[in-house]
Amino acid sequence: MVVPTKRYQKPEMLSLAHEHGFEVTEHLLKDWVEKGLLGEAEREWPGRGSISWWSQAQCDLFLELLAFRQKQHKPLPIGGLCTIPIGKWLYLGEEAGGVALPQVRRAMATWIEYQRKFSPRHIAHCATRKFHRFGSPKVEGKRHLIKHLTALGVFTPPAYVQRD
Amino acid sequence: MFLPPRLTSKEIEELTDSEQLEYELIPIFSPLKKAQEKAREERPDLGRYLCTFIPILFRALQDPGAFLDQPDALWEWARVVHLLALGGYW
Repeated sequence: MVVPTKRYQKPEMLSLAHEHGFEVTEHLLKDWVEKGLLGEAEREWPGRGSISWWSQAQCDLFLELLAFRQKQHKPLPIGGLCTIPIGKWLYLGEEAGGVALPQVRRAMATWIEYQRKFSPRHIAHCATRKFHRFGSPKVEGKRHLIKHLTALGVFTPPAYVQRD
Repeated sequence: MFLPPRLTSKEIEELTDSEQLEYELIPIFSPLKKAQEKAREERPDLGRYLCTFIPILFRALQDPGAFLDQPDALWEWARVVHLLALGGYW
């Protein structure tokens, strides 16, 4: 027997978020879909008059993201929120996580834009922290490697790539 | 405004050279198994995983379009590789 899953149309998504105490607008929902935080609403058929809806998994994801954005002491930036849908796809897969590859691509694009804004100092700090957490304490050459990884983690605009 | 260092395409090739990264990363993240480093034995693949992951991240940062346009099958393959590489850490 196939258990019917609940579907949520846009007004339902928004009213459910309001019930949970979040401040949401239609614009926010649209923006989050464009940024890949949420999947595209599914449609019964293409064209006018079709009902569009989100799955239970996407509705749960919406509430989860809102909680990280609005109820945390230190709200996560949009770029940081992208790791949530990407993580669901990565660790649970499309079936269980409810996140499909087109959404992951949009979320990755947003995440890359976010990563591009970090300064070399911040990247060096993150690399150092990773060493302390995972690296062997006795090995030499860490300073050189941090410099190398910092160079790799910094976005270089095309205008800054010199021609040989 | 932060201005990054100017890089030549040759320097970019060198930065993303996976052999060079392996040379630098594996001794730090995947040291040889020694009696006094038993705790590290559980992480044999982290260095190699990072050698694969970091150049991809670099190329994604520099040219997101080329990265995002990879075929679906490649994304799925990358997902499986990621799970296999990090599965032992949980």
